[in-house]
Amino acid sequence: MNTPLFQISNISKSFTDQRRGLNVTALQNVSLEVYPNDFVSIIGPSGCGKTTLLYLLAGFLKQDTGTLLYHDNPITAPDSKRTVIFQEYGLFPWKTVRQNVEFGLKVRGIPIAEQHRIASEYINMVNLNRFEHHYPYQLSGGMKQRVGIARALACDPEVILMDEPFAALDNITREVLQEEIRKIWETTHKTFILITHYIDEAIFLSQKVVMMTARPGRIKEIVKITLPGKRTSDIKTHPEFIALKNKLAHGIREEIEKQVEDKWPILSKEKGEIKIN
Amino acid sequence: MKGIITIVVIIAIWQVASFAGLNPYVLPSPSDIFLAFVDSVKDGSLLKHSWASFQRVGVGIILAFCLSLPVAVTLALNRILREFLLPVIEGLRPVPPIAWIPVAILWFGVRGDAGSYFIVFIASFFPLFINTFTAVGHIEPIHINAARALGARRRHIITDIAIPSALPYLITGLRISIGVGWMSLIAAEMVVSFQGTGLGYMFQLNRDVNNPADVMVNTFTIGLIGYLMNALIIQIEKRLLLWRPVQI
Repeated sequence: MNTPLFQISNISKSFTDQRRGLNVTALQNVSLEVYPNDFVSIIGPSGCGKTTLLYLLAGFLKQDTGTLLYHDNPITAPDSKRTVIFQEYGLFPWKTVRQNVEFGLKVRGIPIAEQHRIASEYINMVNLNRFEHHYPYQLSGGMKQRVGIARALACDPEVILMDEPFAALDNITREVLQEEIRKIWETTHKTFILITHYIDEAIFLSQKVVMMTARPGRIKEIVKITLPGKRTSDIKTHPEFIALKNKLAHGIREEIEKQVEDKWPILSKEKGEIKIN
Repeated sequence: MKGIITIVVIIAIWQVASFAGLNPYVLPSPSDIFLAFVDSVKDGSLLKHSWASFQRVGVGIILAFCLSLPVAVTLALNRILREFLLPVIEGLRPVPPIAWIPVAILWFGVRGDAGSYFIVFIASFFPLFINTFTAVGHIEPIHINAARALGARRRHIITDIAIPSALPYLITGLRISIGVGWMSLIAAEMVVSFQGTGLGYMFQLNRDVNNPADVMVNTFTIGLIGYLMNALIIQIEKRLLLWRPVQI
């Protein structure tokens, strides 16, 4: 049996809203194990602490209680072994495509010729060779995220943490990039953890989908994704895919409705009237 | 380019007006001003005074830059120091730089260049401080997080993230400082003779000896040097900030 890569046990995290002096519990007693070469997606209603969980795994934040182990060691700081792909890309606007991709190699003190070779490899992989000397502002959203992907892969991480990476993209671009990520996962055998609110995306890419509750975020259910055959865009119309989608959508909807009840108890009396899309 | 046409047209009209009998003590003709310019270049006085002023602005701004940078970065990052010191800085900032001229005389006398450095320093410190302070506050957390998740240590975050993202603000601060520093210096030189040099001093001298053409040479030289310093900064900015979308 595999040993888990991440062991998350009973993690809680809350934030203080400085202006209003409120204490907001983002995560409550979250436990989860992630194994090497897993592709795990985390879905849940907005504000359920998905991003907080990812930032804890990355080492950007520290949990209030509970333990968070990576290779049996507590996570204390960010590390290029657990790199991140951000929703807003997080590219350095003052660096060209090539310089962005080389950054992770440069800070590790890799010789320049080697930096160049590795960067070229990943720039080719995401089909940006014609744009390597462009600055981020000259690229489309999809191209920017390809740079984000190349930059993450270039530093040869074990884990890629993705925070709603395709949320800012149009539908077609999103689907193309999903397929590319799937291919990268199949060929590189790295571990992927994806935060998303697109149910399709979660099912299409993952082996496991972790569904979270409305705030305070807890784990509602872990759904194993087994689909027959190869994951190409055709799979999205397969009955099993649709069944999974309905199941997950139902679960998320329940959580959103609960949130509505908490926020607007008067409205929820006429629950039949409320439509949540 | 079109600006040059405007200038040529103005000079032509002016010259015609002078021929037609414009009082040369009110406004000397362009040809007289040009002759005065040639004379002051020949005897070296224009260059001497220009260099004196230019050097004072340079020293004053370098001093202001060297002090404002660490102070602004420290205050931006340290809340306690900020709470103690920011009110002092904000309280001194509205004082016009030329209002410090009497203080400069009291502290540094009227002989050496120290007083002039002080005036330029005071004039340029505040714009540099404000811009650097803003710059540090505007480093995007996502850039720092991205850098750390790619393995960057503190050193790389300073050289590769903090400095480049602060640079546009620093250059803006520098441009404002040079403008304000230059104006304040000329005013100070008109009041204090310093070493008996400087364009502001030359101004007073030529006015005292009733030399209107030389006064005009002075005026235009002050404008021209100010313009060139600004143009230089704009060129530097263009070179350094290629990564930004073209702005008007």
